[in-house]
Amino acid sequence: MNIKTNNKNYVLWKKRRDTKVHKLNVKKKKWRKERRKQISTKKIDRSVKYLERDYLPDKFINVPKHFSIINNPNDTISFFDQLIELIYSKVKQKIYMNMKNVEVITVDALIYLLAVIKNMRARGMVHKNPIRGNYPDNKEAFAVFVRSGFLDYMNNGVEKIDSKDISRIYYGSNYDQNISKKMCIFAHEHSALTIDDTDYLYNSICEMMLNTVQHAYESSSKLINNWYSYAECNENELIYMFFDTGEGIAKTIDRRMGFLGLSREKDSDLLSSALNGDFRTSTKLKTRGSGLVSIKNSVGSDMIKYLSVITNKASNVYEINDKIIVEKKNDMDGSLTGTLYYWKVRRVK
Amino acid sequence: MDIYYKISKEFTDTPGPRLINEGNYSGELFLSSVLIPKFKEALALKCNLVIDLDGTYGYPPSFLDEAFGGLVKEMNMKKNLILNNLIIKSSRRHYIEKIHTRMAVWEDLYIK
Repeated sequence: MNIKTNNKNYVLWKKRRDTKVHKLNVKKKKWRKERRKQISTKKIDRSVKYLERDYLPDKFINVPKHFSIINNPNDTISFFDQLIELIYSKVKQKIYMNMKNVEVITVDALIYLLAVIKNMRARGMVHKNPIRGNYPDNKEAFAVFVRSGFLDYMNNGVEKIDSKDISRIYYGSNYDQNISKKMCIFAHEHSALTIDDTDYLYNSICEMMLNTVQHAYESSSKLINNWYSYAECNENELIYMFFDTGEGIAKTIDRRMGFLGLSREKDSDLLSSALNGDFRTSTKLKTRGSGLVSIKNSVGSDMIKYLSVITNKASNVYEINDKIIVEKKNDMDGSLTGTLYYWKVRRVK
Repeated sequence: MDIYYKISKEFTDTPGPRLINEGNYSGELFLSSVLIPKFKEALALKCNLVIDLDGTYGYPPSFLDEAFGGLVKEMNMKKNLILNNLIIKSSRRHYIEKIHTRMAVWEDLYIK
């Protein structure tokens, strides 16, 4: 039987056809490879252009010459308001903080700056509006940057210096009484104070931490709820700072009063009332709400001679004068997100 | 023979927050694991429970409130009855005063 496959002509034809198909396939493969290459190159070009097109030129903001929440609250808080507004703006832009002309820096402002940057990182906003900046020309102001430990949390090429006169900036979101203990040990190392003398300090820091933890979930703050703690010493006194990045005491009370339909008081009056224990806490239990009162009453102890509380628009100072606590209320133009406690402890040599 | 308990040696030198879920060495933990069992033991043995507060870094108000105020509520006893068998020892007088005040507040709220 003469079948088609055995036909000589058919075998030749099949061979010619297979060679032709193979050549075509090789050609197609080569063409596809080239095409893939072109597409990938084009993609890279496009993404670069896209980024360049969407990024506006750098936004420069000048840091106040006196960069301090405690000593220059209005300018410093207004700077932070501007910074936070830029970070949260929908426009992509690189933010550049110009610190060149800064002459005086205090650590409270650096703690707040750290809180803002940490908040950006936690919310994944670093790539959208990255922040850069320069260092102050003033040597003393630059030294505060290095000594405070602020740079430990930043990417930079500056060599870190360990100083015995400061504690590093501690931060966290949970209750940690070991930090309060470290702050007391700092006082014992730099002053002839005993464990009994610093118990007000321990109790105050613990209560501040507890306030941060308790209000973490009800806060509508722009910043993530964290606490920051720091201590330093100079010739005559020990300085302690505690910063809570919640929504602030006055706003928290205001929110609750809003529910009750009561009229709005000044922030400094609200803060004053809160520190006097006039408001119940969120738990509405009579057994609660003694934390803020104990913080204010710590000024009455022998060791703590000065306490400043800055929250929202309020900036109240408590000082001891002839064994009586004197209160100085002040309302600021800008509003601080969170609460800053700043107190001075007498240094016994 | 009284039952003696020094918080700084047997519990912690860094007392913590009010509730167990808020942090370590809380007032609630001290109440449930130390204060109530030891106080019941003292009642059974008809002796005093001596709580020594000295040697710690401090006592946050929330800790004292939950621990000693909570004792009034949990034992369902009036402050004065509790203090018949409970002696609070401290060189820092203000803590003893604070404990008495907080126990009185809890008594007003929970004991009828």
